[in-house]
Amino acid sequence: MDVIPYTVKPRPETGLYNAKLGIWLFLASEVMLFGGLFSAYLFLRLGAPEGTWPHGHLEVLPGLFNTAILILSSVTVVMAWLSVRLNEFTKFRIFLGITIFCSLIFVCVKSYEYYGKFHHFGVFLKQDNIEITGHLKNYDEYHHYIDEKSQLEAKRGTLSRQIAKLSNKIHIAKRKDENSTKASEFQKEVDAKSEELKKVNEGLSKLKMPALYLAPDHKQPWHKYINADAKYEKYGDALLTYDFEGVKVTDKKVKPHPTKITDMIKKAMGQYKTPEHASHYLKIEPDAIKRHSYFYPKYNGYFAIYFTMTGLHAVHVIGGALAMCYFWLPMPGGRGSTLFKKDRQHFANRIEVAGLFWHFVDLVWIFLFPIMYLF
Amino acid sequence: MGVVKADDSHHDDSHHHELPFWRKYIFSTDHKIIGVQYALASLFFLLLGFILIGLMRWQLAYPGDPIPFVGGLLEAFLGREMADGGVMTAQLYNSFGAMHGTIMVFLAIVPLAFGAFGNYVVPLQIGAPDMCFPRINMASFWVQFVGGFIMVASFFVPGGAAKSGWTSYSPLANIADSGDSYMFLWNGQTMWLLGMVFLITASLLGSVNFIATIIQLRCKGMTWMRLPFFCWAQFITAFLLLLAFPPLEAAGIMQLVDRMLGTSFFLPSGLYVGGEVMDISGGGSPLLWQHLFWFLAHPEVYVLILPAIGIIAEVLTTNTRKPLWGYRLMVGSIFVLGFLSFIVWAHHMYLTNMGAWISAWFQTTTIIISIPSVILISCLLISLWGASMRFPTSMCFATAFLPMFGIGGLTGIPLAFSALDLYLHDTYYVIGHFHYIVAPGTIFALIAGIYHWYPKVTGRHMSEFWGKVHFWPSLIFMNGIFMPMFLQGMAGFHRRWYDGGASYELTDRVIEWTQIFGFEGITYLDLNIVMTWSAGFLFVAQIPFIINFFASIWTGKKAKDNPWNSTTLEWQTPTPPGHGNFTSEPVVDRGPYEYSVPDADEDFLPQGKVS
Repeated sequence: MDVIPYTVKPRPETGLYNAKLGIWLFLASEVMLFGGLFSAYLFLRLGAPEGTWPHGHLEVLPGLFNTAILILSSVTVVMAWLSVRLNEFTKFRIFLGITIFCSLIFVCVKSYEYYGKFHHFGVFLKQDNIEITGHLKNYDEYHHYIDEKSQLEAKRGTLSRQIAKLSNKIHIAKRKDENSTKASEFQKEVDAKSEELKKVNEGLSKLKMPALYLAPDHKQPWHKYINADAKYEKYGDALLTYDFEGVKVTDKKVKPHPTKITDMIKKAMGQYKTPEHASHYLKIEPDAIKRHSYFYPKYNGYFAIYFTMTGLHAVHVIGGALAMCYFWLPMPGGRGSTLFKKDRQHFANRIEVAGLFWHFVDLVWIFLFPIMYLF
Repeated sequence: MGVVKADDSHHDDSHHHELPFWRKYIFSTDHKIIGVQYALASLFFLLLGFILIGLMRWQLAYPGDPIPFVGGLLEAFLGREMADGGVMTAQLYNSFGAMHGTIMVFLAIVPLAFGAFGNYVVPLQIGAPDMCFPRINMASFWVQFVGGFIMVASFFVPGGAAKSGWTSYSPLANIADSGDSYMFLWNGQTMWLLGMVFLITASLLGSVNFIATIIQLRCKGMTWMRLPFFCWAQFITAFLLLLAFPPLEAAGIMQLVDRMLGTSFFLPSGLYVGGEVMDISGGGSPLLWQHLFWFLAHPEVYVLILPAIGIIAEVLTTNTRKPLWGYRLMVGSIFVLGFLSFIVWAHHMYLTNMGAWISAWFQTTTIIISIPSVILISCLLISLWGASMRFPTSMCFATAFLPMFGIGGLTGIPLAFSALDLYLHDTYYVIGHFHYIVAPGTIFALIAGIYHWYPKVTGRHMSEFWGKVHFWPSLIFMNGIFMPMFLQGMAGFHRRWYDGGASYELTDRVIEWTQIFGFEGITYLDLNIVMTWSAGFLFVAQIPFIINFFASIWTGKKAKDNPWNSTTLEWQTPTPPGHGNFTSEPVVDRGPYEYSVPDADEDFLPQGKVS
């Protein structure tokens, strides 16, 4: 007795074959995983002081498009399963192919959305924690500063770890023999490293953050903080200054970075034009800045949960797509789609199980879309 | 076609040929080999976790003294910051404390109770040729192995293993092990989180497999109410793991993102660290971590105890030669227990000021959950009534389990009330309470299981004499360790004092003990010495077990197929069971515990017939 029953045929009293029960149990666990994240979202959002939860950071259209794409793919995966049941191999490959293609589109659109966020910049001012978002004009200068800073900090870390290790060696050597030659050798090394560390620290303290030139977003909340009656001042090459600590508004025209998907497509096609709202940019002095970053997860709580949840969802999309690629590709020995010919019932089960997973991925997105994009 | 072979690797040939060594014993898909792999790995971790706490206990009894024998090794391998001149530093104490908890819960007890015993015994007891998904079963072990490897490796990275307790409370855990003296990825806390993600994934794969196996692969005639109680316990345990672990995985991912990408899921606004406001977005909630963590970790307590009760039910019935008293009641109780365990988690959080109403709700559910627990232990106790018991070593441990679990359970009741918990929280009282459940409770049950099923797995008995030599000191010294903790805890000893309260020596009145027994000059601090020496002797008492465990593979008395005259199906197989478990398809025609049936030829009626 060495065969496992009910791998293909269902067990009569449960009406399920093994893998179908397995995937349902797995999905129950997945519900709890995403449930944990959804409740974290609620916890953070309800815990945020009133009016501080960000809105409108995401473009609805790409999200809506992706929703439609996923729903479409959920339909085609059922059609693929049906085609296997009806013994139509060509149709099966077409429908499963469409499903895989849809997942590819989804991931591409998602990547473009991520790309847009990773190039969108925001600043929190020391004054009243005012937030200004937009696109960096002097990003070369900014990146140079950031890179140098992180390099120096990494160097500082390595050096201090090495020094700590050497000091321990010295201590242990001296414990055995107060005048050990080894200890004095280590001491020399420590001195050299300390000198280096001193230089690194000097470099860090010398490193000054450049002023940021920001093409602000349309309808920015910063408008409401600007005192309309304030006096304008000349600044540098004829810039206007509002009564706004550390922030100057220029009258220069700038080309902002394209961020909207439509902008990016236009740019790729060579039709990109400067949008109206970039008629001026802000010069923000480093002393006025409390925090500054691109729209990375660390930017605020909203982006933290947005990237974590959509990222985890995207991992599921990619995983599902890879599994379906395996079922689509003809591989020898009854693997992949060759199982269709060999044991159609078994193959139909596999497609059904993959389809169940795919529906779940779709369902998670249907919850993610409104809470991230709309509300 | 239509069927897949048990090892699921060759679809075409119906006769299995010899697999190469690495497929048969290392990357094996056979549930029995995987069970043994789980057992060996988790016994190793059980010993490791024990050694860690042994070293900590030295520090508690003799703070500032170099650790005997291994102090120098600790300094050599973990660095002077950790063990300066062989003396345990506060850093190392915290690190060992956190890793003791993590290793014992996630790498020792759960894999032993669930991964090892469940894997080996469940398919045999339900009459299945293997688990439902053999390859997923194999993946489960190896993912667990990677997780365990990461945890062990984290001891040797700069700064040492995680130090924020096995609970990894934020914001402490968020900011721990970061900064110049730590590496970005290879630091204790980040590796803890990575390890946990692997361990959670492994338990997910395992629990899907268990539930599917028990639902789908029960043999002919094995109806639900004929299922041995051990399988019921594993079934509920699997559901707890399946549904409770994922929220911790979500929390683990969020803490990883916090540490690696600088987000603030668990960091509140305006957090000061080292006198400076942290450069973070803030707005997170430390309480969120606690909720997600305890949503797992409370059901996890039942994951630790349910398989143990299952093992006890098997060992007791076999050795009392009586049916299990209240089988249906017990099955009902573990269902209720499993359900309730999901709605009691915040009784770990009375001190967080989450609100009186929430505390009231969780007090109520916590008190309710004691009802099914009491039913379970009562049924086991009543099963002993009027029996003519045999006392092999397994039965010794199984009977010792009952009072130990009873003490652990009853001392938990005061903790359920928030008013008392405010005082007892984080004292040694809590440590004593849950260790009574897990150490002399669950671990005794697991050891009983090892002595009980060892003949089936290896074909040889473990030595009874050395078993008794193992049992009696274990029982005495377990109590020597944990009983004084209640006294210390009620006196207010905090669980995180790395010097065991020595720095409070001047506050005589806190530690004076004269008023209890009238001894002059004895303080609560002296109990540390009692506990530490008990731990030392407990360690010595395990040496005969370790030698017995390995030596009996070759030297033990040869075992029959059914050495204990037991009823359940695993004893109706050849010993050790071959590939596919049963020589022919088993058919079950009666309940699992038909012992001493009147008018029967023998005092037991096997549950099924295997021709």
